[in-house]
Amino acid sequence: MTLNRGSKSLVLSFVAVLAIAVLAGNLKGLPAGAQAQQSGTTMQDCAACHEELVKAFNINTHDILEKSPSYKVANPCESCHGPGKAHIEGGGDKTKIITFKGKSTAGTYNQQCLACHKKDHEVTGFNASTHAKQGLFCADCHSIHKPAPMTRSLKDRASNLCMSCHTLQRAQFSKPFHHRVKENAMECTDCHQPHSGIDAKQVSKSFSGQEVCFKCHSEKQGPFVFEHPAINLRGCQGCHEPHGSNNPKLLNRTAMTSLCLECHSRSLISTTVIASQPPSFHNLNSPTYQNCTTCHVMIHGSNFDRLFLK
Amino acid sequence: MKMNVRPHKRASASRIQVWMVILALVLILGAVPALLAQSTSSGEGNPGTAGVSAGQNPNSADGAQAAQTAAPAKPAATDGSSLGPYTFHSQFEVGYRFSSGVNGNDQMYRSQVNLYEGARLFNSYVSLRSTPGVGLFDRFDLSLNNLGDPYGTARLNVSRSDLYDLRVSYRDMNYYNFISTLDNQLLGQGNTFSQHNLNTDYRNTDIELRLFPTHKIVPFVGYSRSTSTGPGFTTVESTGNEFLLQTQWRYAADEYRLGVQFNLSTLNLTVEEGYRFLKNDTMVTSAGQPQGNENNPIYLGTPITLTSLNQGYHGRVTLPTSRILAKFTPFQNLRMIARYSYTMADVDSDMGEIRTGSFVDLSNFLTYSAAADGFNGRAKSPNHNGAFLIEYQPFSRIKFTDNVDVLDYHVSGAGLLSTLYLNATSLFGPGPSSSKTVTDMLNTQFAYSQVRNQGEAEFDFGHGLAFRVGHRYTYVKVDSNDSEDQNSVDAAVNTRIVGMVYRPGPWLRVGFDYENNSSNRAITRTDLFNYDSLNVDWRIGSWKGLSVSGRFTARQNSNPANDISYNARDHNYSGSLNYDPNERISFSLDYSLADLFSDMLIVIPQNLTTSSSIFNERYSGIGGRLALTVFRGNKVEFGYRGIVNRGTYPIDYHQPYASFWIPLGSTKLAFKPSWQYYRYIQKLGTLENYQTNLVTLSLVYSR
Repeated sequence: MTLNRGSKSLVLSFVAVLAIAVLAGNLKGLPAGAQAQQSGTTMQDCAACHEELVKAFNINTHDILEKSPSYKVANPCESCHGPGKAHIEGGGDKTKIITFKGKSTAGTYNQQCLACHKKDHEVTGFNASTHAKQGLFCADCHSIHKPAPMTRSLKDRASNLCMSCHTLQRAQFSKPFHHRVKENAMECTDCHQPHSGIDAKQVSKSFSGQEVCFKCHSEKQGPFVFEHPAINLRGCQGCHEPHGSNNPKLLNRTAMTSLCLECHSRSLISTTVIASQPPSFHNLNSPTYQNCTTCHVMIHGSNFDRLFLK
Repeated sequence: MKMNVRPHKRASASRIQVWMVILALVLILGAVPALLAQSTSSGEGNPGTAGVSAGQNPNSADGAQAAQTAAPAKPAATDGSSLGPYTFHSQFEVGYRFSSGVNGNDQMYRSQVNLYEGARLFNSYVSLRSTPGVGLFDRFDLSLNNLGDPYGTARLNVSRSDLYDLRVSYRDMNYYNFISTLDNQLLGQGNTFSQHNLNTDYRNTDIELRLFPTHKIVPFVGYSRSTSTGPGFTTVESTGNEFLLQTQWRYAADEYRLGVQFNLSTLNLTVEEGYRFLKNDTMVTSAGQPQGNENNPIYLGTPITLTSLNQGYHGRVTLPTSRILAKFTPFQNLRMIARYSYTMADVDSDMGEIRTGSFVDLSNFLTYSAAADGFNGRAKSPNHNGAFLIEYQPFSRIKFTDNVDVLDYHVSGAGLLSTLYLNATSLFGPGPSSSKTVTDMLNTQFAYSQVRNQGEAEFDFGHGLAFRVGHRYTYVKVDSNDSEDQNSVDAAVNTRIVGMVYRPGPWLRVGFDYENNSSNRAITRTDLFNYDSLNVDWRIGSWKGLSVSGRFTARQNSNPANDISYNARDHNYSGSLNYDPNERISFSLDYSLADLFSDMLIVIPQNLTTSSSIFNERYSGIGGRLALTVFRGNKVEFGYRGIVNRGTYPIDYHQPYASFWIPLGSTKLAFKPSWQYYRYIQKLGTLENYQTNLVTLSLVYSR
């Protein structure tokens, strides 16, 4: 098995998919999502009972469904809540319309949103994402009618929403050394992609497909003339705790010698692992050698020195 | 020896200039319309505004920082002022922070908290909305946070739903890096300041503009710039004697992106091209004649001294990237997503160093008084990675997904080092000193390839109950060759997956996931090798404003190989409670307990004996807040967040806070005093402990 061959197959598969699509001549209009659920009602019909909601809707992003010539939906309410005719004729029977509050599965509710939003460039395979597998509703985080200011239809600031479930991460961000999320300088979504099912653990990637950390820590991205293989083999998390740490530099060990020696301890007779040079003969009892990066300053990789000294 | 690294003056000055420009922008775009709006909507009642201004966010659990960074709450959609076709929301929080001073280790405080006295602009924003498709924009959001503090940010989003979407973000982070005393080789001499230290400014700008000539074709352009600059200290070691040097760190990366997205009925296709350019112009110099850390620096009869040293780095990396993303839905029950990117990086580096003093070079068996190094390096790095996801739902209750991702990363490089020694004398005997030139050629090749395939089947049993079973196969191959070391290994990893979720409605969710992993060999000693991991999480509510949630995760990893003998445990328990019965009361409490343990064999370098490396961390994190509306819009909020860590590196970290909200005559203006306290206690010693009180007096104007 050669990976190059595998990658070529991937490219060929993709080209094939593209060709099929083009051949199918699928150059029709926009998706059925918004239009398919129209039952001949208007927003004025809805306003008869839900006056405040309809009144406020004219500054709602979703109002574009009615206003934009690209969509021209007669009743935007039905785009999300489904056909409303039976609901109206039933005197407001809540069982005859999608309320996003009653008994339903995540798939049913989310499908209402994904019918249109699956095309968003930020939504890449939501149904296969951890969030979808855990049964999350879009409406758990998003509010169409009462979004928090300065958000994209979110109920609250994004990081507050994330940490309402990810309580452990909330504690990690309160450790002495942490990324500045609780200080409002970063959002969880700067590194994570809450709508992605194609990336492992919903962690974003840099534009070139590498670790998301390099978006900001660009000097560590490389490539380098002299690579430190740990960056690829273990990722940044091999040495760092990204959310927060009790140790300086977000390291996952307190003493740097321990962190380095856990990999760089290959016994002289063993060949079971890679990237573990025979240990240097530094005397760890000497204070000079207790912090490896005092000398190996370019530990993420160097363009000037094989041992990362420069 | 007492050293300090204060903020770089030039960097500070330019930071102020940048923020001044941003502030001017917000005043023009924010305050002026706000004044205009006063005239257009005078006499309008804004009953919701006070609630907005208070920033009492029931879900906010940001701990101490919440005292000064009031997160915007959730207004009714009818809140705000009107300005022409726009509905207008804004908030400006201007204040002055007073500090009691740092009682204890100021260096550690700067590394962790880094908040000092001065005028600040806290959570401020301007938000305008109009009917979609009306005006130059139907959405305008500008937010500014923590201007004047070492982590200021600005974000802008301007869009018209049917024309364009512009997003800009700017972040300026001061990263002060002080190494803990556990790694400080001068601690024995009573110096609590590390010799390796950087005071770096990280600035990140990101701009993206998407155009909607039609929603079927969306072209976009993007630009990102990230820089890290700043002064610091580093050291150079010469045959046992270590000298202090000054660094001027200077990196800048510019990335340009251009692409187009096609939205067809069953196919979404995005094609992107990008170009990234990284510059490294770091300088290292000795300040005067540095004294080494050895009192009697004699090596093989030669005194080791450094009179002067200058290094200049010049690194350039170009990284063109081609990327394609396709989402294809040929049938309603079949979806496919593919992503592929290719990069071909080119590295070109030069470095020059001149040093004078008295040195010994063991590899060439000589002593010398001066040397000039010249290094030239080149590397090429073709890298391609892709992912493919297919989702097939043959029946309404059964769904299959398969996710493949492939990564190929190659670097091939070479470096030539030339050293000219002056006044060189052989270690083997007396003789006339002379000049000597030594060259050394280094080649390096590194290749990392990974294929991962995860297939899952999901069965929906109705009533919100679904089960999943799956398998993940990962194959990794590594080739690492350079002039002095060669390695080539591959490994196959099999992971079995089981999961369940029960979500009968919005009020209850229970999730369960289990993974069992086995590998045929480890690539590195610390790999996840044979492990079991479990995740259980649940959430109930909200019922009358009450919601509770909890999570338990556990992972047990082991590698029994004789020379590794690795055992690691990672158990986490966490839970939270939120109670927001009405707009007057908001209460939240959360608790986490993490238990980390790691034990593995390591080789002690100086005598090649084996020993156990044991790391243990058992920390509790607790946080809570209580916000009350007392009377006539006066509000008070108390909170606490703390970490108690036991194990290898025991510490306590306490962050209580309190803030008040006092309306000044109207609902638009309020006085907001707040207090924060930080206390850091390292249990193994007292050299790094600190505590400080911060009091901030702010005025908040909201509309």
